[in-house]
Amino acid sequence: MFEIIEIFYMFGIFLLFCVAPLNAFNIKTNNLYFNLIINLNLLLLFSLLPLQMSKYAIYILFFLFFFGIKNYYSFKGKLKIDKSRTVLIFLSFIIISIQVASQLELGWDAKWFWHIKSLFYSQDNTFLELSNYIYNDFHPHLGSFLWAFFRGFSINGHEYIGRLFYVFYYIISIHFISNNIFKNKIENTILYLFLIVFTQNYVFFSGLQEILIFTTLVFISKFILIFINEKKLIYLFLITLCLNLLIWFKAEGIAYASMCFLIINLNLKIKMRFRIIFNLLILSFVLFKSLIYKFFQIKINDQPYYLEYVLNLDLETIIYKLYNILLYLSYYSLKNIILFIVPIIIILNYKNIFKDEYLRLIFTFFTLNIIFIFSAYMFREMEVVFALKTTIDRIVLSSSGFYLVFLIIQIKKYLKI
Amino acid sequence: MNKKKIISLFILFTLIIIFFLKTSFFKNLANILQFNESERVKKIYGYCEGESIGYLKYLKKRYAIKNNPKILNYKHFPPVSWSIYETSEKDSNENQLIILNYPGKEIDIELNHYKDNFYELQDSYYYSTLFESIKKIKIKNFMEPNVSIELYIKNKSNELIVKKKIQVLKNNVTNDFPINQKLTDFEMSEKRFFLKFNNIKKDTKIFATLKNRYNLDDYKIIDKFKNCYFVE
Repeated sequence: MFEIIEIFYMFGIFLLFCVAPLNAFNIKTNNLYFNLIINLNLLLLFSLLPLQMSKYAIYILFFLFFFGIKNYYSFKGKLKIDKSRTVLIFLSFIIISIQVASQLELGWDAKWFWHIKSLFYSQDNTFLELSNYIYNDFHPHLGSFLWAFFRGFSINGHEYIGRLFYVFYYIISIHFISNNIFKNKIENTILYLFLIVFTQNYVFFSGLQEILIFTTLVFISKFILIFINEKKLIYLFLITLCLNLLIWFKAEGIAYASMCFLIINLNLKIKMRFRIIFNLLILSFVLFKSLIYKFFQIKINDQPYYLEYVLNLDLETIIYKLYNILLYLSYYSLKNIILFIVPIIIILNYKNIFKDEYLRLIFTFFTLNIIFIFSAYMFREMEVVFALKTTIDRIVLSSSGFYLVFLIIQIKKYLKI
Repeated sequence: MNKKKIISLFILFTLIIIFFLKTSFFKNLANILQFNESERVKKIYGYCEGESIGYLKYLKKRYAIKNNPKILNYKHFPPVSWSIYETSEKDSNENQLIILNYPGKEIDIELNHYKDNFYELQDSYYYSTLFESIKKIKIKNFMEPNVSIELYIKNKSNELIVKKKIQVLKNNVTNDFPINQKLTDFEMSEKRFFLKFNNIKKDTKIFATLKNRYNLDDYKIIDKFKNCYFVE
């Protein structure tokens, strides 16, 4: 029973990361989601400090609580809370969290290094000690840091409590893309539940980092859509913050961040001033990461890709690899379905590709995504079938987050609701 | 209440039911209420079976292990060191060993029929980390006095590359074929390892006897539970 109470209490702690620094009590704004992205970026900075986590974690919580209260009382308008949706978010968090607490099992890579990386922070070490860990160079650390950070608030110190943040992050992103699609509240609620039922799977919360990439891409695609409609700089700023998170979550995040960076520059109609700010921000985030890695002597990318290997590929190997990539990608796209539906919708709407800004953007992202998947296996010095069997389902999952908003809009259009 | 609203509520209700069923909510809830976290860990990972996390956690508590002993698991699972890892210790402690699911000095592995006369030693890289050599081959219902064996590695282009050809005489006492091939000689990492038997009938069952790298007689046993050991 105590564990269930602890899950309830963790929901409250996670929620604090949504109520400050911006005032989230005005439901006409998207400040709740903005706060989450802003706070994750702040936590990233904390994760790099030469300070033991136990020394600052409670102060961050206190700060958020204080500013949350301040925001509540400083809000002048009439406070409107959609009680039924709030209850639904809470319930869906509890249901998935109970599944996580019961099933407990970690994914292969989580056992191999993600959990150990989180232990560096849980056992009061810092980024400096983590940078000396033998498997650290494979991937960045932010997901593991979040795991450890929130685990620190657990009364019993159970490992899975930290992973519940992944559940919260995912649920909030689904709420973000489903909360104002239809005029009717019930229809929005149906959409929210449908997306949760359709996309949720325990494996995503087993300590693997793909769910963080998936969720961040969900946020990015929604911010892009809002930017297309409102053309406000704040959304470009939030996109850059999301891209910054991507490059710190996982090595593949760098590829997705680059793809987003390219599609935004190539497809969006942006004022020159906004474009310059956007590019400078991205450049500064990349530079920041490079400097941090240089300072701590971490390899920027320790993945098994070698130019020599690529140049020595013979035609037979290339055909063998291409055939298997196509085979496995088709199978897992059918299993995941999102990656299978997207090209069909693009083909059905091919006439609008040059007219519709968002469709063009999705088309470009999809093309880059497929190129990325093929390149990742073509250029990797590893037995291709083994590599495909063990990783392609997760690559398909990660990228599918970007298409969710697009699919919702298209389905709404076809159903003429 | 209009028809549209009734349909919407029906869909909503159905989705809630699916959500509960998909996540096995009541089963999970009962599991949490019935068993505490460490009991659930034992149920999932086993005490001295499978990943044997239960035994590792017991050892950590019982012997207040503050370093990272080398852990060998003779059941092929992901690494298990995560469950007792000490981040302040940089390297694993080679003086102490935790051996899980120890099978004895030798084990027999059935080779998997691949195609024609080709048989595969599956998970060959994993076996090469725990076992020193293929000591002998047992071929069911094979009466010939000798057998010709070719040893292959499958490269990244999916080609079978022959690494060695041997002619082996039968040991008439034990009725098997001693080959004594060191696994490290084949540089197996992530590659597949095959044996081709040139004069056998189709669908013959073949076993490889692997010689263990680790002999318990060479170590002092600190703790033991079934076939899980803590030694130094």
